[in-house]
Amino acid sequence: MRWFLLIFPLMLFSCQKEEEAYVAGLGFDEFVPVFNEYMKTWNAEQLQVARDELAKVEADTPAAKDAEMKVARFERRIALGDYYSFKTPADLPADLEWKDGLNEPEDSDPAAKKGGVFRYYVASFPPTLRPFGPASNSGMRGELYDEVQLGLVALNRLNSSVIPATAQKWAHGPNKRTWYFKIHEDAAYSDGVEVEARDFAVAAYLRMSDYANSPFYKQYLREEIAQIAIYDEHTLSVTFPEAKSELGMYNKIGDFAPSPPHFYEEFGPDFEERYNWKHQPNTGPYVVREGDVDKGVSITLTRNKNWWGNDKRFYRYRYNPDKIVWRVIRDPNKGFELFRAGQLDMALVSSPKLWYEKSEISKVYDGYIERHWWYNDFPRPQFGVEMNLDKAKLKDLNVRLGLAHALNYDKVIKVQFWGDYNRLPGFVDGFGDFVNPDVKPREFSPQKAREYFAKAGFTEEGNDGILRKPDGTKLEFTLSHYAIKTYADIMSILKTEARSAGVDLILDGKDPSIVFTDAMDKKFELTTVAWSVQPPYFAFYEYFHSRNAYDEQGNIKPKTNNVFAYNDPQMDKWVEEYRQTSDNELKKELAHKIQQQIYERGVFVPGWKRDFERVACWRWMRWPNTETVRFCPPVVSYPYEHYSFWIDTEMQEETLEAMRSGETFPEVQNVVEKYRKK
Amino acid sequence: MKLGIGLSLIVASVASVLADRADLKLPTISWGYNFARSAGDLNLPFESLEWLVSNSGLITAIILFLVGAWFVLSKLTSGPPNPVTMRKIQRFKAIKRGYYSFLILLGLAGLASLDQLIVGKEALAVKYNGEWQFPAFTTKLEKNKDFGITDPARTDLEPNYRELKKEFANKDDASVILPLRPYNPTQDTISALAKEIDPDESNYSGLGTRLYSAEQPESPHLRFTYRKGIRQGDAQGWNKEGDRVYKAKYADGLLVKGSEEWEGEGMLKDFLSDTKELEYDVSYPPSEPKLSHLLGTTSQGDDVIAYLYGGLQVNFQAAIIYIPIVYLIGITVGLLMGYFGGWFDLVVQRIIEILSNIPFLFLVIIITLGVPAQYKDRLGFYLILGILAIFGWMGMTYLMRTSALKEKARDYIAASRVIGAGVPRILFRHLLPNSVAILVTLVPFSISGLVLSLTALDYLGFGLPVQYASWGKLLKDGLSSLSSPLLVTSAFSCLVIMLVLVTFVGEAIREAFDPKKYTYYR
Repeated sequence: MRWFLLIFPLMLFSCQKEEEAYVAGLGFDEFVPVFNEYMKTWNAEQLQVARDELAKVEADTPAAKDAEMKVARFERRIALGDYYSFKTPADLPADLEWKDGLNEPEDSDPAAKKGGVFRYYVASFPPTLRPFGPASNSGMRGELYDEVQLGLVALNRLNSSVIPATAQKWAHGPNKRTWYFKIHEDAAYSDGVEVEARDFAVAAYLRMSDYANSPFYKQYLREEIAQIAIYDEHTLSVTFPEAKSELGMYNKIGDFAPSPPHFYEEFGPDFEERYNWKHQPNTGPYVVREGDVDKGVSITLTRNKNWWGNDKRFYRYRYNPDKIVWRVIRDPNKGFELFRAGQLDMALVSSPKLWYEKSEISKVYDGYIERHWWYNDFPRPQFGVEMNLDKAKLKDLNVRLGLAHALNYDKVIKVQFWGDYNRLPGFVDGFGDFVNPDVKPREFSPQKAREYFAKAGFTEEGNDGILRKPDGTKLEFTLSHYAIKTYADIMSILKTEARSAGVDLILDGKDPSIVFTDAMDKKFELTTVAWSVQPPYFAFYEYFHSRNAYDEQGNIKPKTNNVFAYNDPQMDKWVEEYRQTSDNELKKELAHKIQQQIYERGVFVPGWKRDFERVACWRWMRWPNTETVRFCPPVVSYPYEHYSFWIDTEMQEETLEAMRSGETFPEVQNVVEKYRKK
Repeated sequence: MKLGIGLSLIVASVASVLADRADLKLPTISWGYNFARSAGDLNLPFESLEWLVSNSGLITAIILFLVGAWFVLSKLTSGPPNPVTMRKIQRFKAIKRGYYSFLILLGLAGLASLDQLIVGKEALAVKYNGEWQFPAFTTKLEKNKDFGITDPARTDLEPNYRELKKEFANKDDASVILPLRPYNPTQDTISALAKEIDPDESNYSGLGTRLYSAEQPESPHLRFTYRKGIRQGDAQGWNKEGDRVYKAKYADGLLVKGSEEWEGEGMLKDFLSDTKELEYDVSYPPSEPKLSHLLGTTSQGDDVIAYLYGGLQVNFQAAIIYIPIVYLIGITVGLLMGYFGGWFDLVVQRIIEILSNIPFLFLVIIITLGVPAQYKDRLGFYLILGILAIFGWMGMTYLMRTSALKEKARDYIAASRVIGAGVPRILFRHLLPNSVAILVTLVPFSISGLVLSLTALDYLGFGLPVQYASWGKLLKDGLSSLSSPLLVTSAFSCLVIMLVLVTFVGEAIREAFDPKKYTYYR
């Protein structure tokens, strides 16, 4: 009994954590004045910095011109007023020429039928369903938001022109710095709530907020946009610090989608956890209902039959399946086998092994499965080898050029890819006229490689065939790559071939996400990362500006795309000008110069590129087939991402019946070279 | 027999030192020196480690010499053989299954030790200009220019001896002698394999390719699509540089008029007749088997038979290093625990408990990710064995402890203590020989455990570096390329056969060394 009395008081003091007191609620109205003040101060600071720079620099030099432009830019920003401005329609300029893009060719097929279920897979279940915030980049953001929702304006995938999306009309102000948008009156979110112009400002606020924890958006929205002004329920404008062409405007904010304020009523410090598994209603036609998220297994999207875009040009013949089921399948081989068994509707068979061997099966011969080989015109990922200029052994140009001649990508293309793929010409490809046609890859030549290495001081050869300097330093590099089978096979070929040039490549295969983060932190010697880039412009700034290589103290800046630690004053100038100018011709000129320098510095050895995608699908999965659109418009990366296909349920029943009865159809192997760039 | 083993070890150690002096590398015997050459110039954290690595050839030779000398001396100084042991060996031989498995394993070990004599891409002997050279046995790397190749793009490259043999075929005073299987287990890419086909006769469905040269199947000339022996669908053609210059369509065996597209130089007629009408079924890695490659190739283009041989070698190498280390540590600790008992026993038992609760796989993953790539490349094999050894020695401590506890209570131990024998003498001269039965029985099962662990680690991708052939990697490769079933089946069969043989030997030893047949309990 006495023991109990002793212990009893202790039980009264339970460990209760004090709950963080925060005000739940969107917080937008409270945020606006605070942020406007902050931007005023920030602008003033930046103006002072720019003025100081101007004072230090000699007059009439290119540096002076840049400094003057910078001063002018911040003076303009301050003159604009509040970052978030609330005006009235009376404040709109009088003679705006509104464009509606309706005369651009439609990039889908009127024969499309709504209905059916499209079943495909992703490699891993996403860590979050949020469209922004931590880990949102590495999930299914494309499948759930980016590809199925409508932003401000969109890109026509036939001719890269700007077409309407949530904005019905757009116009630019006299100086092309401000762009005005009129939103469709019937635009609504997937839960039926109408879209208002203010929702775009809310979207910007949410991403900039501390609760969202997104350093990229914070910087991007602050520096790339000078003002967001709301005029009435369906009119808004966005002002950039510098003038932008129409495509430039699309490049910066075209994909920017509105955020439903009512959904974010519980926005707060615990945003990351609270909203982790909530699917945000968006302007697209697909809804994710309760119970459609089977954690670790699948996510199902259901089509909203009363979608506001159902009869809008450019969208009426797209987004056709009634249901889209994304399964989680880790092994692509298993994905192919499930496709063969009929549990998935499509398989990507671009790799030669899949196209020439694995898909040569009786189901293809009997016409149940159709195959398509479609050449597209899309920016190519930079498959190749990047070199880290921060490492001492790679600072010598001769070493880098020798390496370029020691990597036998032609053999890789022949052996691994059956000669189907092509050699990537340079770091930038698939951007039309912006690609410098004089930049070509250096050929594999052990002789030339040895000459360069000899110039760099590697004159002796060891017993194992690897070159070394007289003081004993061996010519060896660590080559980081993704630890997946295709890459392992490719690296193995490169290693064996490089030996004949006297170089020892030490292969370091790691998990893809680790390889990527190491590359961004510049913790490698040679690496093989590639980015998937979007049209219409290549963003050189993030890859080549010295600001993304070193910080003010001279330390390596982590988590940037400048994996090369590229640090050249001339490149900095070119890249900044390219970013700011709205003159397309000047942009092209600068792009060519930039690519030439990248080639001369030898920091990137181009590997391979694939000019096409190959798809095998069950015959009930139909694709566009009109005069203008064959299979899929060209400016698309993977054809299904354009959602211009449809599932023909009648054909599905017919095919399943034919498979049971033994009836066959003629074999279909559809090669579409209409959009091929020679 | 002991004398024979001892003498051969001594001869081997002397031979390895002499061979190194003469810049030669002998099969298996020069293993230590090969390691020293490959990893000698690594920058290691400790000076002593560096010294150890760069002198590993000499150290191995010294160890071999000492072990051999010990065998010889103990044989010469010991009396007649122990009849109990002789009886045990006789019993072992009487168990046919185990005995024959043991002989087969010995044979396999012998095969594995032949190294570059039977499997390798370097020629055993090359006669050129009347002179004999022996590339497989020299540490120096030969170049193409040593054999008369003057093509500037190739003079400085290592010769491809298989091609050299074909080139020398027409010369009188030049010849090349290749090993039995002239392919390296790893890093000897075979770009593609080509099998001659007659599409018409065999009702072939698939691709038929005409080649510029049968030795280079990866450079096709024309490729046609066949359905049931008839040309149907797309046809493509490439020039000698590898650019695609020709396209055409076929329907029902006939060329569709107007479907030909020609982008190359010269006349289309000349291009089409550039090669004979012979067609091949070209198989890219992992390639289908053909007569010259009975099991095909792996996904990286290595010949599967050579790869399996490489895996066999790796297994034996691992066993030779792992078993002595693990047993040395395990036996000592176990005997000490059993003999001393009390606090020592308790403490060490707790340590073992803690160590055995560390998740083995996590540690392997962490170490694999943390070690810099350079070390992983050269020292990876020993690193993995080291980790396995850290977790492997604990298994036999309990058995040795039990045995020591049992024997400790016997009279002869008390007697030797009374005489004044020290601890090491009691442990190693009295306790250990009586526990040999347990040990010997355990050895085969340790080996099979080791092989399985290595295979599992390689399968997961955390195992040996690229240049080591490993059955686990082949298994992984085969499972992701099930359309080439020979990969999985060959790796699986080799593993099963190896482990079954080892298990049979283990069972036979256990039965042969079963004390019950000779021990009488009162």
